[in-house]
Amino acid sequence: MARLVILMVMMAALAGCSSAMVKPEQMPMTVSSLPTWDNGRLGSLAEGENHPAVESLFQKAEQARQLGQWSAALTYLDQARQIQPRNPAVLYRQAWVCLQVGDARRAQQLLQRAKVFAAGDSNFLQRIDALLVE
Amino acid sequence: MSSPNNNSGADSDKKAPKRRSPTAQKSAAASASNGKKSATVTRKSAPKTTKAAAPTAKKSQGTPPPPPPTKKSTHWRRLFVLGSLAAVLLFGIWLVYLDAKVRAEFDGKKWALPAKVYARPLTLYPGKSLSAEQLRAELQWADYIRSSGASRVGSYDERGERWFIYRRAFPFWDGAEVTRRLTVRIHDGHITELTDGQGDVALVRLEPQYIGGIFPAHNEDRELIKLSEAPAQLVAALVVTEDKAYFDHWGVSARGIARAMMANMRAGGMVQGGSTLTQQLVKNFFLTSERSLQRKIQEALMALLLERHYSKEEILQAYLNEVYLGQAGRRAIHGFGLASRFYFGKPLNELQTSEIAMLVGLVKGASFYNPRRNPERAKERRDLVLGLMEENGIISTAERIRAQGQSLETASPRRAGQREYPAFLELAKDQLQRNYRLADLQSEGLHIFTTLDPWVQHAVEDAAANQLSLLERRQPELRDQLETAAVITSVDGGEIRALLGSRKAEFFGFNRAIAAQRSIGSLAKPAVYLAALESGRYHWGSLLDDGPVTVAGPSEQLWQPKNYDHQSHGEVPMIDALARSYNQATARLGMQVGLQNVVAEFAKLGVEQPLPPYPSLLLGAISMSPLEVAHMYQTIASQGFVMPLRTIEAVTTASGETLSSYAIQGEQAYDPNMIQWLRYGLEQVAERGTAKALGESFGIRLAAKTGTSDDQRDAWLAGFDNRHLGVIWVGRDDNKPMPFTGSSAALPIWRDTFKRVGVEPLLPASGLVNAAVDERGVLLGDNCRGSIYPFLPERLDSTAKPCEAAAQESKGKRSWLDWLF
Repeated sequence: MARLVILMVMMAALAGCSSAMVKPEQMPMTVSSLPTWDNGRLGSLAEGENHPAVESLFQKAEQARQLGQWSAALTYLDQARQIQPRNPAVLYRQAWVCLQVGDARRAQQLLQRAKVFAAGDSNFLQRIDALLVE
Repeated sequence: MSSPNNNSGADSDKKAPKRRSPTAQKSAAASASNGKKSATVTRKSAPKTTKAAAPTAKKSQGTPPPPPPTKKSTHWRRLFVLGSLAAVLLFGIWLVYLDAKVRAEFDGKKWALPAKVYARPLTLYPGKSLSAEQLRAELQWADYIRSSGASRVGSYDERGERWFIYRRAFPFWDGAEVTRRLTVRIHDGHITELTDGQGDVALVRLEPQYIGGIFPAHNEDRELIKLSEAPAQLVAALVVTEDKAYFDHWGVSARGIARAMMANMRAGGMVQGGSTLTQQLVKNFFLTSERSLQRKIQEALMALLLERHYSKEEILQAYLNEVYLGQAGRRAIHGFGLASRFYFGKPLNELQTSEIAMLVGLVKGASFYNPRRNPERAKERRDLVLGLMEENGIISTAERIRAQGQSLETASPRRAGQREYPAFLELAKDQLQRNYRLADLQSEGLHIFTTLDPWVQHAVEDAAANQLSLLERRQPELRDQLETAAVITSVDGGEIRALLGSRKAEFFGFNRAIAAQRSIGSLAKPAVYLAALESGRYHWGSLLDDGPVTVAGPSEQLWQPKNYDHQSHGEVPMIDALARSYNQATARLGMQVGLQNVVAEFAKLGVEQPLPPYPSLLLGAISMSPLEVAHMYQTIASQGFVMPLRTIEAVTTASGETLSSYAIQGEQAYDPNMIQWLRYGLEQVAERGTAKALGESFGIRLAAKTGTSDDQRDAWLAGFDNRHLGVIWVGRDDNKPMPFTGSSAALPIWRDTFKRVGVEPLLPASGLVNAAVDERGVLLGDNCRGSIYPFLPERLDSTAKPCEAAAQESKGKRSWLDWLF
């Protein structure tokens, strides 16, 4: 009985922990937060595991991309950057859109910044380098 | 600037016999709001009579015929006829001219709509750091009213950790958003839940706070409305108060003039004007406020012409937008749309009857009946308008009694949502002018979305005001002598979050944040130390000689800098020289690194002005504005990216079309590890050096540098946490010395600002490794004993000495630690 009570208390404590929302800056930022990449073609901007607030902006950016509204896509991505300023996955997407509109210089700046924050994640760095080559 | 109108016939209207039934008045108002009433007014021509003919004939009976006209009288008659013809012709030409003027200006009437500038919107999402205090303040600044259950748009309620917000619709730069009922739970300084009627919400924005406008020369501001958007009560109340016969006359009301004349004669002075609404509009639109017969005639003629060409509804709509209704600093409040927001903090369609009556009452004299300055007068006037509204059937007696019973409550004119932020606005305007013509900014009604964070701005304003008062209390002779400026940016994006150009934050004037060029003192030192670190010859454990130093200047004069404490400290580790801001050691280091290298370092950090390679440069004998200093330190705070400090997020047209949106920019100038290495030095300043008060206050990892110029004419602090960079300057406009330093004058402002805003510790440097250094500053190999300093990994292999060799070299220089162990 005592064990059951302790177990329940522990579960309640854990449940309490689970309700605490993850802060955006605490989200792990790995290559899994990037869209897929196949033969130079980028998947949906909304792909990948990301913080819900950032993801909602990625979805808007993807809608804008599908309509060819690159400027709007950049606007949504920059809002995502302000929520997670050091998320290389956001900077990567911004750089990709900059490339689509021919702003190679800004794309390069963004990728260099992304590299700073992806340091230590070799897969991520590879993806960034691949886009830098483009 | 237009002057207030003083043409009301209200006082006498109250006693005048009714010319239209209440129902007719209502229908007038209703038809006005529908915008359908036709302007077809049939002009009746007056019957022509020969007034002088009969008496003349009578007079001629029995009298001899008049003598034939002489040559002279014929000449005069001709001359008279010709003169009359010429006068008629000239009058006709004038009339044609006035007609053309009226039509041209009214047809093409496009109010110069100033650009409206907004702060950043407050974004809400689960996980966001947000205190209840901040949310409360932001809602109030955005004119939200606390009401139980938050059942009305623009209201909120807080119950414990839960907040209920009925957000207004707003045209954001990336699309318009509709009204939304939100529930937010804030726990432990973070949003833990965010929902609306449908469920969880990932992200939502509150509408941004208005922070000012970019006005034309006369500073007129307005919010355009259509007649159909004006409450019917407002239109009807305006008509019965200002010009009861509006829908009956042709622009000029003879009866109104006669009534005004009678009233004036009775009063023995000018107490009432006879101008119609049309005449008032003409006066404001086309004429000056000069009072002369000619101007009055011109006004009347133009009013007639205006009514000839345009419908009553068109004229009324123009009037609603044109009329002057108040003053907020430099900003002239025109039109009922803006007046509603200015006086009551809500849009026109949300006004109550008593509020409508107060606004209508202001037409007679916005200053005289100002509800904030002259509340009794304003209330009297409001109640008079309410009386007229009842008398004319616009409201019932019960409504009138209820409305008159309400107190005269107006929103504070100094509230955040109506005040301006001059220093920030000026910079935003400068930056906008790179892409937009000033004329367009002043007239096209653009919406400018900026980076200003009102929470941060208020924090720095309050901190500066409080600290300067404290300093002046300590030194009463400095009362009103001290000035300040501040720049707060986001570390990662270079967005300017707050800008203070003066201790009088709300006054337009000399913007010290941008325009003051002041000696930066020791804020220059990081450039010297960075040049030293980059040279490969120094690390933080390197020993520097802090003995007296003499350097020959460019024209052979000798430069002998002294430490602040007038002491020499012998050989000190480089980290101590920076942390304690030793001038002698820094000057010597700078000379050893090379002046040109230090100058190049400033340029690399983003300083754009050419700097002379004088030795005094090493200790900051160069003048920069706080904004330029912030730009330089931004490079350090943002891990080596030189970023433009920007104020503009996006620009849209009045109809919501996005013209431009801006995003992050920044060229990488440094390897981030090199900047982390420098940052370690600045962390030591905050932890145990001249800015150790910050370390003591916050107890977390921060980076900072104090600066005090020669003779203590300038006090600086530049510092950053994980989110914001802040540069604070305190000094005197006359550039005289003060008994303060960067630590005692600027640091407390930084500290208080960041306390309010909230600090986040800097993340530990990921690209550095620790290594031991012996007492001579020699880097030791692995597992050696010595003082520990961070290093760039690539610097370790080449220079590190094995413990044994180092010990041999330092024989005789053993420390007590070696003895102990």
